[in-house]
Amino acid sequence: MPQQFLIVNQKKPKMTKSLAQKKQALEVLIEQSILIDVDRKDELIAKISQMDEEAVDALGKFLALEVKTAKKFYHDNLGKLDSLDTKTN
Amino acid sequence: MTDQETGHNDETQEIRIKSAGHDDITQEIEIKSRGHNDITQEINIQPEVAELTKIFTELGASNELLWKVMWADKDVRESLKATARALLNVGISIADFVPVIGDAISLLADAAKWTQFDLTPNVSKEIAVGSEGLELLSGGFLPTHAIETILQIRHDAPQIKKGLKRTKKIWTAHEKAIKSKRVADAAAVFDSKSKET
Repeated sequence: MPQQFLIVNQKKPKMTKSLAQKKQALEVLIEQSILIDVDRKDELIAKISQMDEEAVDALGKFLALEVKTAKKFYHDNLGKLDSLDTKTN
Repeated sequence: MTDQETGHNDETQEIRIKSAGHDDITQEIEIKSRGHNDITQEINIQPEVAELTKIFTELGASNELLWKVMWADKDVRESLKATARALLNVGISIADFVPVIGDAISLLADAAKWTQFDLTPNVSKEIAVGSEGLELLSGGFLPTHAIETILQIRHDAPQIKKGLKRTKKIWTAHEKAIKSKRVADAAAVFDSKSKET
């Protein structure tokens, strides 16, 4: 039936974040980043308000990737480092 | 070329040097050599140094950006330098087994003591030069650079351990931060996969 077909193929609506939400999230990511110099963080956070959506998205995606990569790295290596530290004590 | 042709028997020559560090760390360099044409060399440095190097190498390969924060920390930086120094010295000690070429490398390493590229900064010039005398007596076969290597590793071991602890502290703190709900939620905003829910 045509109606059923429509229901099955209906995509879930995209959850779009407002620019304000993105800017707030970007501030959090800048705070935790190890790629950005500590001395430059405040300056960068202050500039967020002047950034357009494209710039916010670009920096946000980059810093989100940092979080993802770091999570994997720590998952793979922190245990090894811990056991090595235990051995040397 | 057979052993008979080269005049070398399948005799195994073994040199083993052990030194007990101040804080109960046993440092061991074991070098085995079997004939000039079939040299089997094994060097076992402190396991923690080897393991730390492996981790640092993986770190470089998998996430070079993490170097930045580690290099910024004085203790970790000194530890990395000490680890790199230990590896270079072990490499030179292996090369020192080969007469003439190895001796030249060992002599260059000693000559570097008078420059800013000193690989054994905590070993005196007298010991470095004196060990070359032993080299001459052995006809260039003794890997005398191993003496300086052991003394330097013995000196560097506490620094390497300190750097290890500091690295652990930095990694643990950062892992805790990125695993927090606040950061995870912020990252999800920019993660294209989690946007469509």
